[in-house]
Amino acid sequence: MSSDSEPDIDTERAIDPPGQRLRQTRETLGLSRKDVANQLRLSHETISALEEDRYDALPAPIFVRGYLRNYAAVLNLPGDELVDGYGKYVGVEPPQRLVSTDRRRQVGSGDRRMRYATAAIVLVLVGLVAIWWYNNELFGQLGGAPAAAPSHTPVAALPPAPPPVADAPPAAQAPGAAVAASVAPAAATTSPDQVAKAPASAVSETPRPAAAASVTAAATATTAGRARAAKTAGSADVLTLRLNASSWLEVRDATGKRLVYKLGRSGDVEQVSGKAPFQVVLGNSPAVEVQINGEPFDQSPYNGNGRKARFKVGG
Amino acid sequence: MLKRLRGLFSNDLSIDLGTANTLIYVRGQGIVLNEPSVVAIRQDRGPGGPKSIAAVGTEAKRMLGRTPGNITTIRPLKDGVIADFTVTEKMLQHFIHKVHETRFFKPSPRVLVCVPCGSTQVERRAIKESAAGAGARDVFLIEEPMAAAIGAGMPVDEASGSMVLDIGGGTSEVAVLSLNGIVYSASVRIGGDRFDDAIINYVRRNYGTLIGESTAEKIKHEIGTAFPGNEVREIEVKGRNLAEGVPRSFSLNSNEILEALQEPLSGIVGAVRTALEQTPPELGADVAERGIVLTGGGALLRDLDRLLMEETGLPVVVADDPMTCVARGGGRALELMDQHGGEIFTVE
Repeated sequence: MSSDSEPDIDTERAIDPPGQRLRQTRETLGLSRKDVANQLRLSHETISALEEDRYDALPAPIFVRGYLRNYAAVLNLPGDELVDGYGKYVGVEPPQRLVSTDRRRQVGSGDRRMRYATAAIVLVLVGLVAIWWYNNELFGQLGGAPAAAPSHTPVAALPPAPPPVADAPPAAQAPGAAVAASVAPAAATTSPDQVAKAPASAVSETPRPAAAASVTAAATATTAGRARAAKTAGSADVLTLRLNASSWLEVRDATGKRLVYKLGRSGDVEQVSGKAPFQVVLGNSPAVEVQINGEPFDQSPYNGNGRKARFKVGG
Repeated sequence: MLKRLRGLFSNDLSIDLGTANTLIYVRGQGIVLNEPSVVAIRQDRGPGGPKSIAAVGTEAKRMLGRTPGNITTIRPLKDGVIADFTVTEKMLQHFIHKVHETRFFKPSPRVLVCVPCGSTQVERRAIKESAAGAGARDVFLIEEPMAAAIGAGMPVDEASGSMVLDIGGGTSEVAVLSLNGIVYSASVRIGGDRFDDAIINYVRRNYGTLIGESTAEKIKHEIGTAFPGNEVREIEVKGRNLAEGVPRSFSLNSNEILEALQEPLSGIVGAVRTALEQTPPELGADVAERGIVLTGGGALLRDLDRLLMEETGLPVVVADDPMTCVARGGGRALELMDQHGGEIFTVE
């Protein structure tokens, strides 16, 4: 191995095909092509083709790489470097090496994709719960609407509307106020079914139509709503609870003031007056008869799995 | 989208079910598993008690020769074919499951398994059923030398002869291929295991010392050589001295190992010679022109190509990454099968 040929080979090795290096090293070692051909059991032409980088004249790349390694071993050169040089020269990548002896592709909870998926699931769940709760709340209000006097509606619908707005998705927050306004005239003028549809569509993240609807609705609400509110402001609603068996009673009026909070005995008659709608919690709902302003109210749809019922009346 | 979804649930696998190592190639991912074909079985509550798998693969190999009474380590394949059907099935199941770890559903991939060309119908059927029992949807078989040649990148589809020598753990296969078919093939039951045994026997004979399989393998990897070279390597090993009955340390050099390996090596050389004798002259000329390609773990034995070059007078070339040639070739064969529609390489 010559000392003078070494440095310039090192600098140009990356782009140079290996032929020249082989030839130079062979000549410095004083070997002829025939010697090498005999040692490698290859033909004279093959050796010439290797040294002159004529790879078209040689067989498939696997053989060329093998010849280069063997030739390098004879000349005490690093075979892998020559093979790399050959690969770069002809643009043939060596076959993929072993990826890993034990590549476990276990996806843990810390994986980014897993985190996104979990977050997406949680968001969807929260959204569903919010929609369900909003609808539930709305139906709770409207359930009492037909029984209540129409004159109560503006008062009833306006105050409880803000809580759902607060829980609605952030996107719906701006039109939320408009939604609340649109509920009022709708409840006053149309059937409860239609009312239920209008806010439902508003909730399902379509702020545009909701906002558009609210523009016209709000206009009517301001005129008609104000007049009725003024008319009914003075009168109080009366809620009567008649107990056939003992039951827990809890009543709050529209302002949130607690009117009744006690265990009622069988035969008791509890009468409260205040601002509708009343929020009522009954511990033993089947045993209680509810009247609002003298009209009977059927609370059985609100009976949950047990006897307990939680509902709004007079809204 | 649908294609991606389908690809998520069905991954084509190519399995090199070898005596020493099992490799799994997953289409589009490369080699994802390379573990020893060893299973450790635990049997609690005495003989006749319930058996359970204690470990598989690398972990089980570490236990080899170091187990207490209730654990036995088994190498379920011998000489390239299944020796213990149930354990092989369990092992395959474990490996396939490991490769499919992220899947929610039970994996049922298409599987291509490489079989030694000398294996009998019964042995092939055993391998096929073992893979099917491990959850494979379809099982294809391919002969090992064909897979090795494809994996090494040899031009097997050309009308010219290519000779490949695949030295595995249990068997060595030599074959001449042309036009996607096998012209001549032979299998000898000599492989890495026989090298280990030869080293164990040599050490016992000459040093009166008993060493284990793992130690013998380590010796082979570190100083094993097939041809006398310029440098002599040494290794310090420990074994049980037969006369004294206590562990003793001693050193071995590469020339001694060369001597120890003479017998199995001559068996392989003999097989190659026979193959060359049996090859039709036109193909033989092609082989002489281009050379023999070495694949399999045995090709990593130092200077084995030199030995074969001297003995046959032909050029000999070691494939890139010879250990994984068969598995890679199997994967490539699966792709080719999809492209050409037919089961061009498979054997029944």
